[in-house]
This record gives sequence, C-alpha cells and structure tokens, in this order.
Amino acid sequence: MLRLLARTDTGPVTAAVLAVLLVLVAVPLQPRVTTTLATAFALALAAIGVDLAGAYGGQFLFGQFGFVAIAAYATAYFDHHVGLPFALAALLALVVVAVAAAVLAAAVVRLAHFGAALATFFFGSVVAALLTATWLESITNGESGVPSPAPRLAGVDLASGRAVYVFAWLLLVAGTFVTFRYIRSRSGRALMLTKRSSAVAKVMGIHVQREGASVIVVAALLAGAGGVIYALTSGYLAPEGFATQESTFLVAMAAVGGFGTIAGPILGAIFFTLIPELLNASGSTESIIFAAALLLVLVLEPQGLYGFVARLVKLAQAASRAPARSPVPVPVRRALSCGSAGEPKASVSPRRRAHRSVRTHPRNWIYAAPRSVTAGSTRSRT
Amino acid sequence: MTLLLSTIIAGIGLGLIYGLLAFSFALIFKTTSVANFAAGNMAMFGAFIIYRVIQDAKVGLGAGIAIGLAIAAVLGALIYLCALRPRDDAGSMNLLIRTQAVSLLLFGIAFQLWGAGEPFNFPSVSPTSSLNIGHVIVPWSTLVNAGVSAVLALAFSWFFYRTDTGLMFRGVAESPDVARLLGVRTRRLSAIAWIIATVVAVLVGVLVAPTAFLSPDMMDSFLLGAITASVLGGLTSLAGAFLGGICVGIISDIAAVYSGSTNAVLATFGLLLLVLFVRPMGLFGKPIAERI
Repeated sequence: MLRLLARTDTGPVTAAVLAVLLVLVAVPLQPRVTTTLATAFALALAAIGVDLAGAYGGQFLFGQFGFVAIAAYATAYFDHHVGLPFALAALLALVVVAVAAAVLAAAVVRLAHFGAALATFFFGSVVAALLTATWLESITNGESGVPSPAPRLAGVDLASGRAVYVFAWLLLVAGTFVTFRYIRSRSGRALMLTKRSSAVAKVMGIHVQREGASVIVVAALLAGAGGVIYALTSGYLAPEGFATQESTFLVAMAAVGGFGTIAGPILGAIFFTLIPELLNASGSTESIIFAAALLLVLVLEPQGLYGFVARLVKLAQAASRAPARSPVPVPVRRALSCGSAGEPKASVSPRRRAHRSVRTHPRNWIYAAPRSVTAGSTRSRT
Repeated sequence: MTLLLSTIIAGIGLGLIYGLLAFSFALIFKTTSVANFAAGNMAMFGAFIIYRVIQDAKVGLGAGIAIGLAIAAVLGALIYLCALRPRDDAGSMNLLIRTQAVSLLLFGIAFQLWGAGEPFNFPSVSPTSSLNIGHVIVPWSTLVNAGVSAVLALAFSWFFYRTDTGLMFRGVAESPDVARLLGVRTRRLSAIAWIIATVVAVLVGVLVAPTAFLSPDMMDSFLLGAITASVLGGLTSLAGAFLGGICVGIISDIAAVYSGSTNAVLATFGLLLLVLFVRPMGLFGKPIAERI
C-alpha cells in the first residue's frame, strides 16, 4: 500500500495526513472532540468520493449526502429491525447504496455540461424528502427518526470515544487505498482520458458511459462507508441531519481542501467540522461566517488547502536550494535580433528565460544567443 | 375532468415560474458557462428586500417592486464582481461552488436580518380570486405569470435578435473564444448577464412569495423545479427552459393533487430520469458534436 501511495503525486501527503490522524489517538482528547473527528472522517470519505468523481471523472456529484443518508438509515434498519450483526448490516447497507447509485449513474452519465451536478443535486433532495415520506415510515420512522446502532466488537463498545475513532480511521484508510487503487487501475486511467476528451476515449475503445457510471458507484460506496460511520457517531438519525445543503458542504470540503488531491478532501472535512466547534456562534451568524469564509478560500486559493500547503513546501525548498544553483546560461554581450535583414523588429536579450508557451513548466528553458537557440529542461540537465 | 383541467392550468402557472427561474439559470450558463445554484436564493433575497422596502418605506407594491428590481440589478452586479469575476479562470468546479457559497451567504444574511417571525405574508400582485370558466378554475396568478412570461419572452427575443448587445450575447454563447478574439468584451457581457438574471430571479421571487409565503427557504422546491426544467430544456435553450418548465409544472401539480406533495417531488425526479434515458440532450436541446 505504501508503495502505491509513493507512486502517485498526492500519495505521500495523503499518507502523512493519515499518519498524523492515527497519532492523534494517543493524545488524550475530550470524548466530544474524538467523536467530532470521527464524524469528520465520515464526511471525508464522502468528500473523497466527490473528489474522485469530479476531479478524475468530470462528474460533479451534488447529492453525495443522499448516499450517506441511505447507508446510515439502512445500517440502522438492518441492525435494529432485522437484527443482523453490525458488520453484516453495514455490508448490506453498502449493497443498497451501490444499487441506488447504479440506477442514478445510468441516467447521469448520459448528460452533457452540468447535467450530472443538476441531476445529483435533485437526487439529494429526493432522498431528503423520502426520509419523511409516510410510506417509508416503517424504516425511517418519519420526523422522529431512529436511534443509531450501538454495536459491540470483541467486547468493546464501538459507538463511543476512541473505539469509533479508530474504526472511522480504519475505514478512511481503506477508502483512501481503494481510491488510489482505482485511480491507477485500468478503469481509472480510462476515466481520466474520458474527462480530457470523451471522443478520443471512445476512439480508443473505452466504454465511456460504463466508466462514468462505475466511478459514480465507487464514489457512492465511499459515501456509504461514511454513512456507516455517521450512523455510529450521530447517536440519533433524524431527517434534520440529512438536509439538502449537506451535500453542498461535501463538495465545498473537496473544493476547500483541493480538488484532485485526495488528501485535500480529508483536510477540508476536518477543517469544516472543527470550525463550527471553534466559532461557537449562534446558528445564523455561524452560517454567514462560514459562507463568507468558503467564498474567500475559493477566490483567493483556487487550489485549496492542499495547494496552499504545497506552495509553502515549494517556497521552503526554493529558499533552501537557491544559493547552490549555478547559473546555466553563458553570458553573451550582444543582443540577439530577429526580423528582416538590416531592420531588427524584435530583440531578445540573451539570457535564459522561460519560453512563453511552456510557462506551465517552469523547469523548461529556452536560451537564445546569436546564431543559436537551445532549449531544454533543468530536470534532464542538458 | 374539470379537476384535471384546473390542475393542468394551475400546473402551467407553476411551470411558468419554473421556466422563468430556469431562464435566469440558462442565461448565465450560456454566457459564462457557470451553473448558478444561487438562483433560488437570489429570488428569495430580492423578495425580502422588496418586502422590507414596502414595510419600512411605506410605499405601494408597484413602487416597492420597482425599487427592489433596481436593487436586484446592483446585487447581481455585486455578486458577479465580488464572487465570480476575481480569478474567473479557476475552473468550472470552483466557480460552481462559488455560486453555492453565494447562495449560502444570501440565505444566512436573510435568516439573520429577517428570519425572526417568518413566514411573512407577501402582498400579491394578482387578485387572490380566480376566474371560473364553466367549471374550470383559472387562478389570476396563472394569468399574471403567463403575462409576465410573455412580456419577458418578447422583450428578450427583441434584445437577443435586434440589438448589438444581443448579437454579442449570441456570439459568446456560440463560441466564447472566437467572440473574444473578435473584440467582444466577454466579461462586461457576463456582468450584464448576471444583472439580467438577478432581476429575472427577483421577479420570480415576487411572483412566488404571495403563495409560498416569504421565508428564507421558500425557493428550495422552486429551484428543484427550475433545475429539472433547464435539464429538460437542454440547459442552453432559453425557449426550452420555458417549455421544460411548463412540462415540469403540469406533471408535479397533477402528482401533488392526486397523491401528495412528497410524491410530486418523486414524480418530477422520475420525469427527469426518464427524459435523460430517452433524450439525454433534453427535450429541446441539440445533440453535441465534439470537436477534437
């Protein structure tokens, strides 16, 4: 698993974040904080799903909390009413989520533009409405909700304190691992090509709609795993906890953390769950501050928390490496001129500079001197 | 039979509301490629402003609406300039969530300032009574909605097909890059699109508020209807938005009358899925050919 993480761009950071979260177990935190963090892990799993489908598959899931709700209620139902052991109940809940996701995905993948965002947003609202529907009352118990399951695993109460934290952490690690495996699998690569150009993907023989549907199912299963944790930590499952805007928050977590980074959504989820705890303001003031902060982050740091951290790391590296770098270009005194004979139209001062068209790769350089232009990359040390 | 006819007529009235909101949605989507999830709460916010203007400044409904629409124009420009304009190259996902953040912000502010004592009774622009034609009931609000929609549709078709700015709008919708190369100031057009879309959304708020009662979450169900309408209409078709809205309105109203409001949401969602299976590009959209 570590080798897999090391092979991807964002793997090392993700591994580091997960390791830090494991170390937190040893810190004697208040039980309330431990439970809050476990909830954050549940949301992180769902947000990773949003990230996976959005950044890698180009399908924006705005109803992801619907899957969390389905998994949480299904776990509670199989645990209480049917009387299955908790592990089996959780597995069955994931099956239910997968079926729901497959039906939704079959329709969603056919849409162009923002169709996926709109249709899944609607799906989230439908799930929220169904939680209070009369004909589902035997499962959801309507407005009054259902108590969450309180399983015991090997004599340990899994629903409280440190146990649920470790359980949530393990599921988060498993979810992260599955995500990285998926990205690097044949399906994952096909998916990324599809996002870039579905026409090219089709020509290459990729079943575009099937790959698009499969990523939605995987994302939903991640949300489902989050839902299982959520069922444990929330204490009581009631419709208010599953409002439509929760799905929006999941997307916001992925965005604030940094899209396409996997570690980003985890950071975003922790950030989002801890801020309300810290603010401790009244409901509406909190939501104003929250929305304004979200907007600020989106405008000021489009790469999210992950991008911010990555930039800090890069700055630190540049600062420590700067004196050691020797100048590559040979000093030339005459300016290079180009244009028709005798009439210079433009001149390039003879020094190393990044070529405009390759500005996205700062290591590439082009060196212009009279009668010779050399280009290369500092990475290959030409 | 008369019940069904009355329901269909009420559904058309509701559908025109969805259509207007979907139109506001499609306008921004066409010009800026941003799906504006704040459309619903923009309508709610505008309705609240008009309500406060009428209550506090003691003006009539007409004057209140006029002042409110002017404020809405400023609000639309502000939203674009503050939230969407800075770093507008950050990617469609980033911009999409910015509109969500704007939506949350508007909701939060409305709840903080005016949340106490909601829902409020909003004065209606149309008489609350209805016309009875035979045994079929035609509510005045449906007629008013139809009138407003017709006026707006005529005004915008004149704007898009008879003015220079409208031509630029169509150019940007066709191909933003080419339009920019030809000297169209696309950002200025985006600002205009946001202003128009906000004004239309607030108009929707005025039409909705008397029946839905004024509260911070009054637009939630309407946003869903509008979203379905624009998907049905093919996302980029302005006329499709209205037709899609009418379809959604009729279906959801029939479902609501005959089997309850939860099932109306389900029926609308079922309609959405069904249409997507049969015609993924929407009822009135064109299939997209991809250029490599």
